[in-house]
Amino acid sequence: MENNSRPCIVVVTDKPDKNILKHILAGIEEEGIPYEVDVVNGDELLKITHKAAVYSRMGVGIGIKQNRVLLHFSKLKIDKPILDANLNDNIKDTARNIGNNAARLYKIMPFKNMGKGIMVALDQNFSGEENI
Amino acid sequence: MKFIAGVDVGNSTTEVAIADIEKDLNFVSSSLSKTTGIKGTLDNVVGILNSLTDACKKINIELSALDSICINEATPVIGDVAMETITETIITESTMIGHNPDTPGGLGIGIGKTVYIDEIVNLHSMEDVICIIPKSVDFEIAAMRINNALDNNVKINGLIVQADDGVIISNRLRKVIPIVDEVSLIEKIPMGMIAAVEVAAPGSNITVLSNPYGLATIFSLTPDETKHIIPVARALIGNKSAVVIRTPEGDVKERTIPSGNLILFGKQEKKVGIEEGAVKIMQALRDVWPINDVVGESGTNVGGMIERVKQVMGQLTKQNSSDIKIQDILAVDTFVPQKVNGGIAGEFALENAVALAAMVKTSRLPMESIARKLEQETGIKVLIGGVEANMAVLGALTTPGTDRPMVILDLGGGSTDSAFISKTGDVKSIHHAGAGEMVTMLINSELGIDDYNLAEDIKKYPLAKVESLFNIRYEDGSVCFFQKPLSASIFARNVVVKENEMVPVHSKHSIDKIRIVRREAKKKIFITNVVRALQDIAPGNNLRTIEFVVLVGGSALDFEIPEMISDELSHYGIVCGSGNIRAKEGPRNAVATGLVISYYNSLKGI
Repeated sequence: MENNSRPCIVVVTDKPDKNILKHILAGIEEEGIPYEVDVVNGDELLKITHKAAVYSRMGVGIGIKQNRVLLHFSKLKIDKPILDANLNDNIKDTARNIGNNAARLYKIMPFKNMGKGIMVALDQNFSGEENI
Repeated sequence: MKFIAGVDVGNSTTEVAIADIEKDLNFVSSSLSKTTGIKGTLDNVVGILNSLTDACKKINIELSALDSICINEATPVIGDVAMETITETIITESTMIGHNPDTPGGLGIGIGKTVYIDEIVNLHSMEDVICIIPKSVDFEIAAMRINNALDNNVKINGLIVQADDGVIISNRLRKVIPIVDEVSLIEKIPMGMIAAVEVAAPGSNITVLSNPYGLATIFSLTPDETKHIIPVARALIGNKSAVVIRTPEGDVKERTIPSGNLILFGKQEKKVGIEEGAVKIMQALRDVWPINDVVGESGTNVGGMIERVKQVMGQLTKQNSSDIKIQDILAVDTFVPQKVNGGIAGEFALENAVALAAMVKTSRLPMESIARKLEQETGIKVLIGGVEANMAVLGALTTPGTDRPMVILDLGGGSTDSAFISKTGDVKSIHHAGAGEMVTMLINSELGIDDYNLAEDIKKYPLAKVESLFNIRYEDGSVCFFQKPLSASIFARNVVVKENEMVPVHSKHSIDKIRIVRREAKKKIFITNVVRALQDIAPGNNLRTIEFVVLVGGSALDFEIPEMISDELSHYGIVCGSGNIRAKEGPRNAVATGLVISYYNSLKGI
């Protein structure tokens, strides 16, 4: 995480599943959004992914450790990522969709199906609204 | 204290008004609850009791404190809707792929023979080809093979890809060629045929394949052949990417489905074909107005459609469907997005359709048995009041600023009911087919959402677009911010904003498109019917003799229908607006209020 000169999605990896990484990156690329991949090591993938999102000039961070994938957005609380899932089956399509969705988070386009693991907090309906 | 309750059982709501008539007519309470069961059946009693109890609670009296209850003589009018598609698009031999993948690859137009990716190693150099890549081939391998072939001087001018790989393959190629991806039924593409692939620049539409002369240039067509290719060009207008393949028998046809004739019985008998469209049908209806019945030619689609309507009516009213007579119809031209027969990328074509609402008058609804049951359950005297229209007029006249002569329009779910009260107090009423339910049907079919509840929500509530995890922008441009992140399932989607819920609209339509469909559906039905109603009911059928129009009923609460109607009627110099019954109830409670007033007047001998 040194060169932060251009806006891109930041992907942090810790011994990632090669197939998952490849298709997540392909998913981001298919949507036409740049990314950078950094190698990290540490136990707190959640914190690191959020840090990556804050660090990303697009506000989007992805963390991959083996088959665990996290998708985070800079404006969300650290413990409430958009996605925290272990990919076990249908890896290619799911990883591709996660990559698509990371880009779509920035492009403001509807998400594709990411399977299980989408944070429950995000599925609660709205409360405490404010007009601006 | 002498309490009188008026009860109005409507199609969807049961309304109550309570007045103390000890000294004077003095309204003290009112309530509204859901109608239980179908209007006019014994099931209604539960809803009536709910509503009565509710109204009594508001003024802290027991139900037994009521002196008498007046219920309305409900108008036995029920409406139903149906739709018939009258055109059909068929693609033969899979000659065309017109779809809008979110992210096609490359740019421009390419022409060549269709070739499967495994075959490209066998090709001679300088051969023009379009390469087909199935999902099983990884994008890196596909890109490598294409690059190798390009190195061998094979002219690969375009790609048709099954997976969502357009951009990532394009990024790995040495040459910019158009790539159409997400073509689901790729195995149906004929091999060895001349094909053209076009991808438009971001923000614009394809220009060559959607132009008949563009197609003529590419495939060297004769003037005669160019005439036949027009449906292909038309079907591709507005697409971001497309493929056209020329095969010997390949064709795109648009044909009219013979749907049969409607037979209208009125002053005379008149036949009109459904495929002639709504304008012709409504003209025929005016020619023979008033009508006694409508049937469809048996053995045709429209025959089945009318039969279905009558059967539903028959079941509701427990009558033989042959005894059901249709008293009015409203035909509206519409279109339905339908999957194209023979398409290979799940293409949709907008097919023309005619939507039909029919209104049926049945024999009197069994209000007597409801009254008797209610009397048994409460021990209170129950009276059946006058005609619903008269009661509605009496109630509507309590709206401040109204006077006779006046028209009330009750915009309901199944039918549009109207009543005219002259200066001397004579009331004339009429019912027309087509109302809220037909609006829902049009929204449902035109947006192709296939979800009645969602269409109903789209009709009733304003739209918004979720612009981030924290804010939405309403269709009018105002922004609403949220402290907690919004659900990922509605992110970046168009949503219907209900009281405490946001429902996503799962369609690719823009928010403007959805709004236009919604507003057009409302206009097509309510404006048409309001004008029809006023013409039928106004003295001398002249709209300009009417001064006041008061809107009542559920649709008068709609957030835009009253404005639309006011706007239209202002051309005729008519004062029109939503009613405000007893200066406090809004457009609700007109009939219940009218029942109490009527009873009070009869006691005083007015």
